[in-house]
Amino acid sequence: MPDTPTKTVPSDAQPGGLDLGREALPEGGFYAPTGEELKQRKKRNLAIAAMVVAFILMVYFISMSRLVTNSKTNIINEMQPPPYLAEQSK
Amino acid sequence: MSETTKSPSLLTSAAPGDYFALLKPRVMSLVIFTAFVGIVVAPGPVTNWPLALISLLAIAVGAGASGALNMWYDADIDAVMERTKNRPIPAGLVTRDGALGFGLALSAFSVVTLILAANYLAGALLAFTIFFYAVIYSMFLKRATPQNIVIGGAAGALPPVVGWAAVTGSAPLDAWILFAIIFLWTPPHFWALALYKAGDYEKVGIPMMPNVAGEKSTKNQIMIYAIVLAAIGLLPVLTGLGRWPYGLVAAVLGAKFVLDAHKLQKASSGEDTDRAAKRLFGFSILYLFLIFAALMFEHMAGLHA
Repeated sequence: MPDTPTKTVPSDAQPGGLDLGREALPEGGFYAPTGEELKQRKKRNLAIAAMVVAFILMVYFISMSRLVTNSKTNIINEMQPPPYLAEQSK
Repeated sequence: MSETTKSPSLLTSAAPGDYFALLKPRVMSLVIFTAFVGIVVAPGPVTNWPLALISLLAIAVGAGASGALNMWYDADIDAVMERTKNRPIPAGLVTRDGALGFGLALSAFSVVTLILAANYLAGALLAFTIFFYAVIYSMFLKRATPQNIVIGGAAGALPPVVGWAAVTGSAPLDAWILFAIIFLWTPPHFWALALYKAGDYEKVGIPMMPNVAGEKSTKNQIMIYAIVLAAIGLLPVLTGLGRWPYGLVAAVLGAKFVLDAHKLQKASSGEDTDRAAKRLFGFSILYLFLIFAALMFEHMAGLHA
């Protein structure tokens, strides 16, 4: 067995943290995720993807909405007579 | 020989719903409602409803993010208290680091979105709300002083001001009256809860008012806050933010609040106190909902056009 030092982590080091009862493995070792963990990971990934897409669409919508509002405001401003003409017409 | 020890695993079977629970959905619903009222009662018509609703979503997510950060910081005491032991972190569904990352990411996204959809003032107020709840309240006030929820109540009282600022770009006196109503509502609401959950808070050493000042003093302070709240609830009528229908609702609800506080004050036995405290706690939620709803319907009905 390789003499790899591992860090001791008491099970209560992270209050309420996950403790799946797995023993620490030597460096480089890993546990294969269980079927349930893979299923939930896929659900989480899909939720994150949906949120990222929603955020992108939202920023796009905000940009377009502001563009339209600003254009309308500019058109209305351009339709107003310049100040010197407004003064003359009084 | 290598030392084999138990180690928190990065593998987790947390479902997306467990992360959603970190956002404190029930608190979030109150924030959504009060912020929506802020949007509706702000002067002038809402010129762009889609952007106003996106702003509302950003405010809700920001509030949820501060809830996630609160659960990250309070995981140790949440695990001990009956009321909170089933939250995602103490239940072992989400890691503390996961909650921290989730809270920070959502905080940033919500503030940026609000700045884009509304304006810098609203974004800054939301950022301050998150900071105040997650840092000032959770990290400093909660475990240090019985005035924790009095001062910390400012975080929960800000959403209508943020909503108001999102659609007008300003935060005038009327917006701060809405803030004052929630701010003064918070102590009697939470102290009523603390009265019948005193053991829970004592177990984890949180200095809630009943644990520090005692039951009698807490009841007296609830009474004082109830009277001040009932008076401040009528302030919108004086500034023109509310009309007589609102004034009538606010007067009736305020009187009932004071009456329930008086019944709590007079309760002598432990059982009577628990019952009266639960009644006041339940009514306080109804009070806030109805008083804001009355204001909202007045404005929606065109009484302020």
